[in-house]
Amino acid sequence: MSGVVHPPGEGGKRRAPSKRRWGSRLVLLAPALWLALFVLVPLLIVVRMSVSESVRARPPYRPQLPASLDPELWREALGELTLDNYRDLAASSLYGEALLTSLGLAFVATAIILVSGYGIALAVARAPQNWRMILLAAVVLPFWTSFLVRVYAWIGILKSDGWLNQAFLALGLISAPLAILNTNAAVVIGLVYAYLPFMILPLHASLEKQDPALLEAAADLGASPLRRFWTVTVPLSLPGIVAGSLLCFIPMVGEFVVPELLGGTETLMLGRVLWSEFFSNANWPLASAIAVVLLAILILPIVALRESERRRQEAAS
Amino acid sequence: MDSKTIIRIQTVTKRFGPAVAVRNVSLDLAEGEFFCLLGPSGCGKSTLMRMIAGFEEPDEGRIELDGADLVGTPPERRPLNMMFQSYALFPHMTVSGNIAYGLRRGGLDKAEQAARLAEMIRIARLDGFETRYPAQLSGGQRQRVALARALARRPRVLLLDEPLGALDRSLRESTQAELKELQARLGTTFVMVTHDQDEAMSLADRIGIMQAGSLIQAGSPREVYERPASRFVAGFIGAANLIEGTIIRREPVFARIALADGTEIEARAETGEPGDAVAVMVRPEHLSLAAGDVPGPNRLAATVTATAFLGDGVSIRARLASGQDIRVLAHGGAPEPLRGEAITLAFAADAARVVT
Ligand SMILES: Nc1ncnc2c1ncn2[C@@H]1O[C@H](COP(=O)(O)OP(=O)(O)OP(=O)(O)O)[C@@H](O)[C@H]1O
Ligand SMILES: [Mg+2]
Repeated sequence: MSGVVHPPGEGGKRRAPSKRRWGSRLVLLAPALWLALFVLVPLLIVVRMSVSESVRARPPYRPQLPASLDPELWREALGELTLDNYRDLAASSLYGEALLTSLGLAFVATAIILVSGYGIALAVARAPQNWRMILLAAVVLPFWTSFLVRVYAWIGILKSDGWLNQAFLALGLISAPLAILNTNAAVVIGLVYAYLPFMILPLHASLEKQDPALLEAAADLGASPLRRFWTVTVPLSLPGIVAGSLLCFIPMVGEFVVPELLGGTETLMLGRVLWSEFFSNANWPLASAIAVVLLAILILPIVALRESERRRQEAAS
Repeated sequence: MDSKTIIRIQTVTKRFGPAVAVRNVSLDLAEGEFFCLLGPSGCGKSTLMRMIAGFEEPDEGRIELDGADLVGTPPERRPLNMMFQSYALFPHMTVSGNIAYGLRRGGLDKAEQAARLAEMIRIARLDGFETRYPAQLSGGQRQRVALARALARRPRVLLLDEPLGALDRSLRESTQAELKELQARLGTTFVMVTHDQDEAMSLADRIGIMQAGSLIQAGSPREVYERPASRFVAGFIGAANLIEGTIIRREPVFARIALADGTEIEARAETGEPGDAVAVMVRPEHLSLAAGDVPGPNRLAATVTATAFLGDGVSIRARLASGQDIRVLAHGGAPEPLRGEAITLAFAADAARVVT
């Protein structure tokens, strides 16, 4: 006897992959649907709003998109779309300043969070196994309380007769209360406090999976503890550093609650500007334009990062 | 071989909580020798190596290098290097980056570093792979990067923890030969952990056998093979038949042993007094088939239970009258006995050894 003999069960095996293909398609469909529904559609609505015109009416923008499919009506409506809101943004220095303030404060806060978060994540990752879960739980414990309440509580700590000033006065470190509340410093303190866990968690994830033998190998090859940290620990945690920094920086740039509660009148962050355009001035189109610009500015570094990552991988292979 | 002692391990004990990982081990390593640590899993081989490298500190005893106590010296200041079982290559560095890592703090200037790197690349036959990352290498190439990285600093002693464990059989054998050749050329003292006794036999100048944290015996491959210090060593190094019996008479070199069924045999003995329960070790290759009716000394009656043709000989499994299984390696054109056939096995008293 010659030729190919199919073992029994081969037929069943052959059916399995196509089943799996269907399964994997379904699995991909769910996030795609989710993205379309909750990311793409709202984004399109915001973009469309940003090229509309603000009017005193209900809804407060023009043009309305026609309900029928009549091409004539559509041409008319689309012809009314305008880039005026973007021109206004570019013309007024207020928005540029708010953007710079937002980026600056978010940057400073991210830097502080990175340094302090790294220390904490490292301590957790190097703690004995049975301590790790407890320490991680402590990191995420604040999430059990409302964000708003926790930030509000900082007012009590930072105000001129608050706990911090009283403690400093009692210790004789200062002779008169420091004006911390309603300054940029208070905003940075609030941001650092509120976003620290978002840095610690991804950092811990990348530090914990590092093979301890790598540090031993580095020591064996003559590297001091400091050199081991800079040449092994840090480079290998780079994905965690990037993920944590983005997770903190991006929402902080558009943050509204922290500057609203802890910042002064001069702390103009984009989130607040957007809020006041939307709710105080009822200028939905301008607020949308701010949101679109913010989005574009924040997406750029991510795209650049992906691009450089891709190029490095290409170079490597 | 230069017999100058380079590392002296003195009564070293290491505990992890209540468990004793290394128990009262003393061992001298000579400069330039190839020493293999052999033993079953969990017997403390890695722990002993890690104490020499400095990753663990002994609870008792001391470890000396060139007569100076090493205890308390961190690993980065010990002039020894270790090749890890998992290789522990830096995944974010290229082949060159990995090998050159230890050179940056080695007191060499830039040109010397570059020359040493090139030399190590050449020795490890990694030319053309300098810019690859570990993930882009085969298992054998990774193994050579790890070896080159550990040797780049020209350590006095190289510690290798199961360096060939992750390689497949054929690659393993060719790598063993390379390792031996490299060690001879560099003259570096090698201490290698393995639990493959063939590997230890073919590579080592001396073998140390560990059991449950203790170093049972250290000696040349021939010594531990021919004069095992215990039943454990006899069974661990090579195949051995251990025939249980009692000493009935003791002579200067030989002892007479009575087996349970009354058979009396003679074997070399270094220890043991009449009345002691001992085992007689006979290697399978030292047993031969004797014609059943010819009387003589050192004869054992047995029944064949299985045979296997090996090309250059026949492997026979047989059962003694006492019920004990015994292995025989018959060479050349010996007639192959049938299953169930009653045979008589013979051996020279010189080739048998009393172990306790
Ligand atoms: N860090 C540690 N903490 C607790 N116990 C340990 C530790 N390291 C080793 N041991 C224990 O010490 C004993 C010896 O371990 P070791 O790793 O030295 O064995 P080994 O001979 O290298 O084994 P293998 O051949 O499997 O690698 C084992 O029982 C092990 O469980
Ligand atoms: Mg081990």
